[in-house]
Amino acid sequence: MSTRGLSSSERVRPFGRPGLWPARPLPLLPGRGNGSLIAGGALFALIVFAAVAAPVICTFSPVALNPPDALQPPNGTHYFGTDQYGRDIFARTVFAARTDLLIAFSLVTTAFVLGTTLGILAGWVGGRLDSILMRIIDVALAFPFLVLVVSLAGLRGPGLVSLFLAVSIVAWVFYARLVRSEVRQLKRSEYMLAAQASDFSLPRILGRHLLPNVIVQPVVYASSDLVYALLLGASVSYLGLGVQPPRPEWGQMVQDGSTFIGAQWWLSFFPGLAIVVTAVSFSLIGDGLAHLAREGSAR
Amino acid sequence: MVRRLVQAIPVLIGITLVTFAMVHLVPGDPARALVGQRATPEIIASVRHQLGVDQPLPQQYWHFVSGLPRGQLGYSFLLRESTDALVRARLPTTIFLVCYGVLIAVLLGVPLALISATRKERPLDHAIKGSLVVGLGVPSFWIGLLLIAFFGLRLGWFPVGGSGAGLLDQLWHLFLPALTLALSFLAVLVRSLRASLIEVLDADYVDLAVLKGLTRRRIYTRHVLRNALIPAVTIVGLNLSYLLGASVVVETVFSVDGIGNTLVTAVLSRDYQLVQGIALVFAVLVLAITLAVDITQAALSPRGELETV
Amino acid sequence: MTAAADTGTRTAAEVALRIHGLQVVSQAGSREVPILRDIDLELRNGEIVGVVGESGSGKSTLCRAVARRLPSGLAVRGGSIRLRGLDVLAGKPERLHRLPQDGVRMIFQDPLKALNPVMTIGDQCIEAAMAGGTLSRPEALARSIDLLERMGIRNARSRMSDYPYQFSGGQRQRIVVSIALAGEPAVLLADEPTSALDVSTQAALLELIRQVCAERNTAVLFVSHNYAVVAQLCSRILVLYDGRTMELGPSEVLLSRSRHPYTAALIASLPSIDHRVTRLPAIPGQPPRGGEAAPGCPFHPRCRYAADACRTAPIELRDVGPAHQSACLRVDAIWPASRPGRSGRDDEGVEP
Repeated sequence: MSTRGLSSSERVRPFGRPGLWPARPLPLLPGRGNGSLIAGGALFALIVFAAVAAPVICTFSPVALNPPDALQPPNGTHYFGTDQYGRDIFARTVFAARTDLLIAFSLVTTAFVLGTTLGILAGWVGGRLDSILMRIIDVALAFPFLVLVVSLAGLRGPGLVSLFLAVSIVAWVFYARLVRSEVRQLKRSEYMLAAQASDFSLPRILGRHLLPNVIVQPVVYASSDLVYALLLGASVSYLGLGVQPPRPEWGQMVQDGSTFIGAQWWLSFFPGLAIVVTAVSFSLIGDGLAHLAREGSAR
Repeated sequence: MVRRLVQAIPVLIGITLVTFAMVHLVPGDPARALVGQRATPEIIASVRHQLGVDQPLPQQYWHFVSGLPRGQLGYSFLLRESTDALVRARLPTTIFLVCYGVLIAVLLGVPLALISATRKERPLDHAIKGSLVVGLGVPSFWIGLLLIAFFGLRLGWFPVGGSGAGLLDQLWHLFLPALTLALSFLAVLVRSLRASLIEVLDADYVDLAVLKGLTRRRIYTRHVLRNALIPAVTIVGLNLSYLLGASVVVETVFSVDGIGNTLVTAVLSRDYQLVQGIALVFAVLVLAITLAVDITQAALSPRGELETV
Repeated sequence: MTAAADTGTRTAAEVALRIHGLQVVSQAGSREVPILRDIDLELRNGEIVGVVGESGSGKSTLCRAVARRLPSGLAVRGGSIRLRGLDVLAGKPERLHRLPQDGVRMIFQDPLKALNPVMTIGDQCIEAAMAGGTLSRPEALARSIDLLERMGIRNARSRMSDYPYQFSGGQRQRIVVSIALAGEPAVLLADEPTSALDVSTQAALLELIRQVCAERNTAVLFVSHNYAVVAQLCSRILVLYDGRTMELGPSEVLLSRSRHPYTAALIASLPSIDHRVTRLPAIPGQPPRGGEAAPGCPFHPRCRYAADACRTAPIELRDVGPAHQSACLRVDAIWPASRPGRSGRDDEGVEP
């Protein structure tokens, strides 16, 4: 796909997320990256706190069935109302934060680690290994990401593990591509040639000289990629292929409530809102980091 | 151009390998999954034979690949139809939906990006940029449901499912799904477009145009937009993969009978051959459209390599 | 040679552009950072005046201020700019841009960025010629072809349907100049138009600009960081440093008798065919990064003649000769009135 005519900051994002390929994602918010970072960080801290302190802040259990109280609209006792089984939606939403945060972070971390490692290998060693890797990447990218994940996850049987496996098989591809091109560029740079000429051992070269330079971009991506990982996990769960009940998860909760969307909107509304808020916190952090990275390299 | 076609071949092969592997390397016995736990060994054996899984793997692969050029994508056991018949019936709907969605996204996105870029760093720009942050995090299934609840159920303006028959009916039925798809794509589109618009607005030739004393309208249409739309096309092309993926979710939310929805039900019902066939179709679709967009791009721009202005 | 517009109304002695006390600031956040301070300059019809300065000196900003195309974040804080009597800064920019002739036009450094890559040059030229509203399309076409040929683009008629990428850098610059001149401007602002060209193309373009502007009595404000280029083309030179005028005077006078340490240093660092130099003298230190409205002479940290007074005293332009001004406090100390010239250059000041 030709990327001509694009500014250098437009490229594809990992997780097949909409956007465009390498270099820097654009910080969305004005002003210093610090503002973004602080706001995002604060929001994120709040969410994590809520997830961790869930048993304390929720008066009801997320799984306790209570048919007499079914389908209550939001009120003083049940802040977010109750679902068709009488379960408190507020409690379910807060507890589900644990699941969704876990999913988002583990997905990104795995992809990041796998992809970066493979990317460094392919970029540094080059040759056959590199060509093979590139072919694999090309093939993986030919499929819409969601399609691949859905197919793979479903074939093993729905569940969190399936989701995890399915994504792990594919998501590293984006990080690998990004890192590989960075490594290749850096390999040719005078800086690296000097390091090699100085007779450093290979691990030392890779570890002290290559890695710090090459790691910045994937980290910045990962931070904003959390958004897509979160949405992906929620979408797959919405489709019924991810997290299974009774474990609460936002996407799955939205699906649960979808049949009631007409009159009892709160079943689906609040979990979805939680996704948006969490995603916004990730975005803010990601943008803040991107901004810092830009400023850092501009110096 | 020929080079691109040639480059695509190994990818095509890879795609077939992957889709094949997807299904045939799955743990468990596909026959048993279809027929259930209680089936007798004879039934299982016969189903296995029907599915062709009693043959060695390479042979199965060859059987699979050789059928492709003839349009044989396998057979859906659950729906009792050949995959390609299903695809032929439902693919048009998906394509219609995606095009419709892109259209809405562009119609909404270009003005927004233009406003944001021209009023850079002013309140309206900040407002738009802020909404983009939020927009990026909105799940398509959620917004789809909300649209159904409000415009479909409460107001009754649009139907809440199905894809309609006939062009006008389709446009009406698919409006909410297309809108949902558009909204999920909008944030990225506006963000990228805004960036390229800012670059264009900064260019010397815009200054030249202004100094010529041209009307604002003319400056925008002939100079700014033309140069900014080229990257917009690229953006859409690059995100095609994402759009097709998102359409799967949207189709499910709105019960649209396109191939995305079919894929999901197939996966849920362990209809492996159908899954395989549709996954293949998706991949080939992405490949084909990417190639087509590449070619059109090259043809449209006055220069083989468009420089980043 | 057809010059459809009536340039006969521009007489040689008339003042085309009068800049007085111009102050431009950058509004970064809550602070205002001065970019240009107290700029005074007059251009007569047909005169070519050069503005020389390092990057960051504010020279491009000067062009943009006159053209009313300051980037967002920059604003005129004081002073006036008058174009043939018209107050440029008053009212909306369109007022200036829509002048059918005797207005202001600009040419730029990067020939690739100055032309719309997706429009034929024919369309761009015709657009320029028709913008005044005085010409019909066929007339505009004829005039554009004329101008292009005058600027040295051969087979102009057949090349009208070509796109910018089909021309070389030098040719593109000529096209840009013809687009600029199509509007029959009174003042042509040239923002480093030759910096991106190789030396021989540079020379040709400069000569062309000189001729064509002389024919039309168009005044030219030629901005560059390259002193040699400016000295070649311009009759008068304004030396800019950190947004302030350091010296202003006729070009030959500045070359042989400059009266400001900065100008002298600039000239000294030019390679010369006349005498051999074992080392090219460079000006020590870095140009200021802007952001300070520090008192005193902005050049004093790098000046070999700097005295204590240079750090604190206010800077003013004073006459040091006919039509020659300098902002140096220590002019008399550095260049005492009568000194026997030793090597034909009378700008070697007294050793500090």
